[in-house]
Amino acid sequence: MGRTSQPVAKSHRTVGAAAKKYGALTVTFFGTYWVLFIAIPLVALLLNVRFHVGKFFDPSILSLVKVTAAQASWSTALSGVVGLFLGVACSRQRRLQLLLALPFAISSTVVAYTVMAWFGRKGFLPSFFGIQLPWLFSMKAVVLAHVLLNAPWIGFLVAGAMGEVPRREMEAARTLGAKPAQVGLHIVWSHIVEAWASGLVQVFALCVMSFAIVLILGGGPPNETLEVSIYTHIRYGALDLGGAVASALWQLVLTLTPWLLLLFYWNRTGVRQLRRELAPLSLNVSRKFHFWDWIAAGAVALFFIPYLWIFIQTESSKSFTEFLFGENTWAEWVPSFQVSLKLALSSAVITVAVALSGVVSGILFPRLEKWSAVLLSFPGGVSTLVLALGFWLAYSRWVDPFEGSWLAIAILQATVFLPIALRIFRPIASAVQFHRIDAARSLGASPLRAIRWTEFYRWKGPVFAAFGMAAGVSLGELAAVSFFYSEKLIPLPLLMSRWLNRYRFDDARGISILLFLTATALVALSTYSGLKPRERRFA
Amino acid sequence: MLQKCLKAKALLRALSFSALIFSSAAIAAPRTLTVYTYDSFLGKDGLASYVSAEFEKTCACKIEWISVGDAGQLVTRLEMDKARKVPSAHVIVGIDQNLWEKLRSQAQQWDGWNPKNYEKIPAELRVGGKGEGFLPFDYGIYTFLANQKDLAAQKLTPPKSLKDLTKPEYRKTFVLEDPRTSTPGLAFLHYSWAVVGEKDAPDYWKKLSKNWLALSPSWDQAYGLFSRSEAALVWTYQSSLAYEKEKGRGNQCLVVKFKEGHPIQVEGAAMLASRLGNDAESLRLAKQFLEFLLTPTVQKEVPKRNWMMPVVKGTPLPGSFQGLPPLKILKSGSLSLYPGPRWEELLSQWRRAIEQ
Amino acid sequence: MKTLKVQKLRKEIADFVLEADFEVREGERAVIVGRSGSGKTSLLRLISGLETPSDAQSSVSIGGVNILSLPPEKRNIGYVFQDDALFSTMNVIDNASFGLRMRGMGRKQRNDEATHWLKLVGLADRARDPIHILSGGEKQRIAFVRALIWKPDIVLLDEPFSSLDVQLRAAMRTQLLDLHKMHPAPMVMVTHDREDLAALATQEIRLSESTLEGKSVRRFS
Repeated sequence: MGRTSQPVAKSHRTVGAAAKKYGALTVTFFGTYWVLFIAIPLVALLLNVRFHVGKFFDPSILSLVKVTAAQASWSTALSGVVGLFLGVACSRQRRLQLLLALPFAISSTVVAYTVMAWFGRKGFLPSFFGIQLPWLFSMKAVVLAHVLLNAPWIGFLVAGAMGEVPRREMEAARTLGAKPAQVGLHIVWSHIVEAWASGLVQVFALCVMSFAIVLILGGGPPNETLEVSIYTHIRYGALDLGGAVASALWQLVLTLTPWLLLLFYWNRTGVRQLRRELAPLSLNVSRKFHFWDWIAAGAVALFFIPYLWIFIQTESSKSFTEFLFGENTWAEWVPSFQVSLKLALSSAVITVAVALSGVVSGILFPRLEKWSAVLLSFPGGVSTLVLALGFWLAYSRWVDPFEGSWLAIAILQATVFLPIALRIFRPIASAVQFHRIDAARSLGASPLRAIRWTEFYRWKGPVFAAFGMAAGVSLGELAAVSFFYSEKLIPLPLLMSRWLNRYRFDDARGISILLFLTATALVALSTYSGLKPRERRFA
Repeated sequence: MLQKCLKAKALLRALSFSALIFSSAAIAAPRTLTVYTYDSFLGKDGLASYVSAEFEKTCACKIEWISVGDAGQLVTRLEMDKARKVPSAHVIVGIDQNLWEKLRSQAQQWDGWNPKNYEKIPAELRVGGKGEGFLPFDYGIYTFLANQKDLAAQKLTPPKSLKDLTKPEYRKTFVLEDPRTSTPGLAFLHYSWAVVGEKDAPDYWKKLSKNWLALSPSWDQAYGLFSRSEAALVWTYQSSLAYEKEKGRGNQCLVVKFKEGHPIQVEGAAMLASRLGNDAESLRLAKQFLEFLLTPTVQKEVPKRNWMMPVVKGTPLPGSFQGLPPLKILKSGSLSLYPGPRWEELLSQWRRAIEQ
Repeated sequence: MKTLKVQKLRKEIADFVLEADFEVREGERAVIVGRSGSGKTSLLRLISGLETPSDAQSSVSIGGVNILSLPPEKRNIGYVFQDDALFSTMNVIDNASFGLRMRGMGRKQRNDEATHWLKLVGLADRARDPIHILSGGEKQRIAFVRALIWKPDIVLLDEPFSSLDVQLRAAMRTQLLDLHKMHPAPMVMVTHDREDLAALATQEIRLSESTLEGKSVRRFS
């Protein structure tokens, strides 16, 4: 007797008692984390300031809003176009997709100095090709650096989304007379546009909150962003919380507005709902490199090779191995490296745990799905500086931040990374095969074993990828560190900053190489496992 | 009754004995002196580790260094301690004459105490009135360092005055630091305000902003740009030439001499009244520590460890520091070098000028 | 209307060789019955151009014109996939009218045409609905409309009723017959259900197996 076909609607997701029990745990964990480490610090910030509305409309802050929005818009637009091409070009080759993910973990300070090394007066391009860039210390240079950093990430998201385009749909379109370009426009595009658009929104937020790149390449005021404004308002003995909060609130407006608009558009058009029940068919991902794959590889290399300048820079009088094993430096960098690794791994574990709990809560309780996505995405619009300040104000009575707290640093870093983790987990979460879990249960598997055997293989890769990226980004993070470090808790970026202030430029370069290698290794190792061919697919 | 008395005596002896043990233990444990300082003062090759090692040999105490970020954040930290009602440090090291304006009220006055070697400090390097609490221990003279090769390549000679920097030929040749986030940057702001005059300062800053290559957030970033030859001139300390000499590049670099004179930064230490209060023993130790900073033991290490000049006259200098060209120091007084409480107003003025 | 002629079509697939030789005329409905994995789907994919034969001698002609050198979008072959393969990001009417759109028909005209066909299958009131809320039978009807609305020269169906229950299958067969009457292009359908053969076929294409040089050869003729 044939099976009666029913629409696979949300109501078909029956959640058993065991699942509800686990769901309650995940909801509690996620909710508690959000309240303790996001809501309360932000509220503390607002409550601790005798907030003058006038600050919000201060002309200098408004002009910063304009500058911030302009540079972020240009950066996002260019990154979006370049990233789209990169993503499409690399969609056939997993190795290229891996390369697209790597730059994400590179510290923005390294990116800024890379642009300088290539385009500066004594950079590679002027030295070898006579190409001078008169606008190196301006917002144009900032936009260039943002594109260098963010276009590969958008490419990575697009390439991943292309892997989710059902092959049958593409074939059907061809049988209906669509030429390859038309298949791309009508079928592929409609599947990747969500990933691309959400990537743009994410990149926009990152560019709005850009700090190191603006400081190094912007040339100074008036070329600065709201993040820099927050920094200057809480530094140098002139703790001006009102100015800092006004800048932070405007920053929140800028980062959250595009995101809310996108959510609104999707809700109206129902686009996202359409994709919920996609069968996990994917493009065949070829292993052999063809001509166009080599062209794509060349394009990707353009976003990677520039970073190799830190290895071949000739101005330093000390080689990397001399730095690593030198008597003077070994005793200093090793403890800092251990601290950095501990922080990176801690923040990665927290990121994955919290993001998973949020996402799983949405799976087990469909009514909470939108909320969990909103709550996980929200920190994407909040600067680490702002969160750290709020955290400090909220909890300094119980936790002495001046004693140093690796946990506070790890939590802050993890919080800021949650939206990225959500981005990685969401496609997997939206395609959970409940009927397979049910099938496993009917064959005698306990709920956990059923999930282990039916879902684990799908989640393993993204979990590793999110872990690696969180750890990689954490290595170079300085804002959270600057609030909660102590003499026993000096990670590598802080050590580098100290050495720079003491003329130890060569040693500081050694640290930047070490950070670069470690971050990219972490991302590469973790992301590779996320890009292994998925064997179990169902047609 | 007798038994009760005996018991009571035994108990009393036991209590006295314990008290003796505890007080002995208390006496035996070294006293801790807590010192706030800025980041780059610390580190294995920094002055702090040397000072600790040497001072702890003589004081039967332990120094607990607490880094609070950069020098500007020393003030923020004290304000936070006050707001949180937690004990602050005993001593603060690394404040300069600009920050002193904000810290003066929190410092422990000397009340007639005369630190040894204080009289060997030249008058122009003493900050505030004697006994106010500021103890200088090093200083640096601000100037521009020029890369002669880069200047020559652009057919330029080093500027001779502040106003030269606004000339078209010096466009995009120099790097300054941001006064909001950097001590040298703030020093330049004060200096330019003092030299150019209050009335002409905004116009001067506006022209300057069109000419600078970049306004870096910190000294190390500005110096980094100079090291990379992005800029031929950088606002830094005279002692940077000593560093370049050590690196074998002394011949390439030149200290710029402005006819108006040059500002100085005097770094110092102070005791904090809030922590010391009525604690006589801690006060004694803090004074001992401050005095130690003026001893030859510490002063001779200042150049190589802190890249600044020792305040005590007659301190021998390492080879690379000898032969640094003398610079005319812009004195306080007539030129009102230290705006003091008008600091924030100055910054706002500056901001408005460069945004036009 | 044109005749579909498959001659010496040959493809080496994994552990067997597929061969085909048959002809289907206008108005005819050829049905191929075979077990899963016998190569039925591969045969349809070869004809539609989604796969390429391994023998240069192979020929698939429509109206006397060999179409093997043409890409799928130029072969004018309507294809109904086993799992409907409707476009998940489009609604019902956009799915149905996609073939017309690819042939340059204007929006109003193609919507009118699609509405007409949707009425035939009883889904005109669902025109603006997203695909994912439709039932299996409804999706299959949309798939039929999508494949036929633009009047292809040939229609291929790959187990179109496999996911439907018995009652629905019977209804769908009737629906297909009605639609085929409207546009009687040569039709080739593969199925594993002999009831489909009985209800729909005007001719049966048989599958025979032999061994040649140690390799299994499956021949459709």
